[in-house]
Amino acid sequence: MSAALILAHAGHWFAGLLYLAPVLIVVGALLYQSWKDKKLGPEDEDEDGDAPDDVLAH
Amino acid sequence: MRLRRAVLAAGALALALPATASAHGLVGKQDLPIPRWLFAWAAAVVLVASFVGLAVLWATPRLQAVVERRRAAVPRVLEVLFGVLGIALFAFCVYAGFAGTQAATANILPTVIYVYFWVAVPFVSVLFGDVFRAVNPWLAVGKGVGWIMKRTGAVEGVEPLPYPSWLGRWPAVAGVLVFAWVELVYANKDDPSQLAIMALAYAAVQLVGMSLYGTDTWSRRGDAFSVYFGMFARISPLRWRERALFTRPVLGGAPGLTPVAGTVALLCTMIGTTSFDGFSQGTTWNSIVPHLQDFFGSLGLNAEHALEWAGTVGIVVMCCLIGLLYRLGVMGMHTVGRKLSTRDLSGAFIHTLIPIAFAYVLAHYFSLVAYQGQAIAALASDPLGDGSNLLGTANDAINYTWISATGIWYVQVGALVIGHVAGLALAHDRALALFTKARDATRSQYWMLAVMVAFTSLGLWLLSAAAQQ
Repeated sequence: MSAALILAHAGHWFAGLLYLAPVLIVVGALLYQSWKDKKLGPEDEDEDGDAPDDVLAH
Repeated sequence: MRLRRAVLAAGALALALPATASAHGLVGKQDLPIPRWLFAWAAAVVLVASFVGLAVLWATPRLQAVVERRRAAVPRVLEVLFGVLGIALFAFCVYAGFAGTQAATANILPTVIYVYFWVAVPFVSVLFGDVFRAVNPWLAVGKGVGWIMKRTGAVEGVEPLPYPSWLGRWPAVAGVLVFAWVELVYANKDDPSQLAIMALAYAAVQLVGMSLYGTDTWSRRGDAFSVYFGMFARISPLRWRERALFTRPVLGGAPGLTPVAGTVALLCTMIGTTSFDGFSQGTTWNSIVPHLQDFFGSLGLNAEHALEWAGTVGIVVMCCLIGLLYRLGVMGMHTVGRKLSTRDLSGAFIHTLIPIAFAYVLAHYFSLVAYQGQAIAALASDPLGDGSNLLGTANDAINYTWISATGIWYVQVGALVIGHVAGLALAHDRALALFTKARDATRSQYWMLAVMVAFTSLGLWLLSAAAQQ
């Protein structure tokens, strides 16, 4: 019964997945980029890398 | 080749899906050249292109400390007049709620509250700045009483209590959540006399809050509507302060948002409640709600209260989901450099959700204002629904043809895309100010890009899902 219900709503689920696809593509690209960045190793650490206090105070 | 065939098959299946109508069920059939889901893909492409454009062309922070130019003075008499006008409108609407017909569509109060107050004021706030502050009836009463007491010396030596820092904008979060609950979940949401009672109760709470913590402090932190409309006014090019009108760049007021306690929750609640409005009209929610209703029914609640509890769960879960999505973006940003805590980042970027909250309001409620907003002509002429025709417009009908269903869809898509691009621009600008290396700033914004794409897709899916009913 529940399997039949799921199948009956397959069109709605599929339509929902089509909206999710751009998000998955962007997240996939991000994860790939992060993996690539890690593989390249860290860049030179900057001396004054902390955030300016006035910006955080906003 | 196999991949191409699969993509073509998926496209063909998607094209075969039934077309849907616009949200709020007020408009007819849309005539779109491409399937609706393709708009979500196009919106994502626009966001990615905007992200690249920002990374390349926007190299230094421009919105962190904008210059405001004084354009005109506002006489004190106008301040008093607008205050009196606000009190008069409030009193009249409450009177209409009690004395008028209890038929929701014939009494002016439900339309004024749900269409003009809740939806149109944010539109006006983005265009003209924080105009609600001028007509805020509770603030006007509070200021008036304060002025009289000062003149009579009744409050000599009495100072307002210091506003607790832990309280922050939490009263506003509670107020927005309760209002949205009444609008979306409460069974008697359209009952004019109930609305009038709630309006009076809200006013009483505001007066108590102002008497404890001072009119200005309370209205900027605790008065839910003042905080809500003021949040939208931050992206306006106009600013009213110190009895003068100032101009500033569009979005220029948003970076100045102080992330006191409750600010993140407030923005997530603003987006979450609007999202739930769309979601609650869709097939997914309508397939879940009977199970929730059965569950609450099994606890001994009647059908009406069981449905309200189901809605309560839905609205809270949706707000939490929005919060979770934002949190994921912040956690992603935290991985860049790891010099800033997630707490710092969460507060530092929360203002980027303001244009998104507005985009959601515009997209979800545009058709409501476009059509139901016209009812004000008839209602103003017969506010109590007793058959009077004060302005000769009591029989004016709503024109449903001035904008087509397709036109509304384009407004909705445009609002969502522009709102999210604005959010990206604000996030990029803040990242440039926070991260000393441009590379880190851009890398941190990968995650905000993902959040923006997710919010855009969610918004379009909700509009689409609501229309399938």
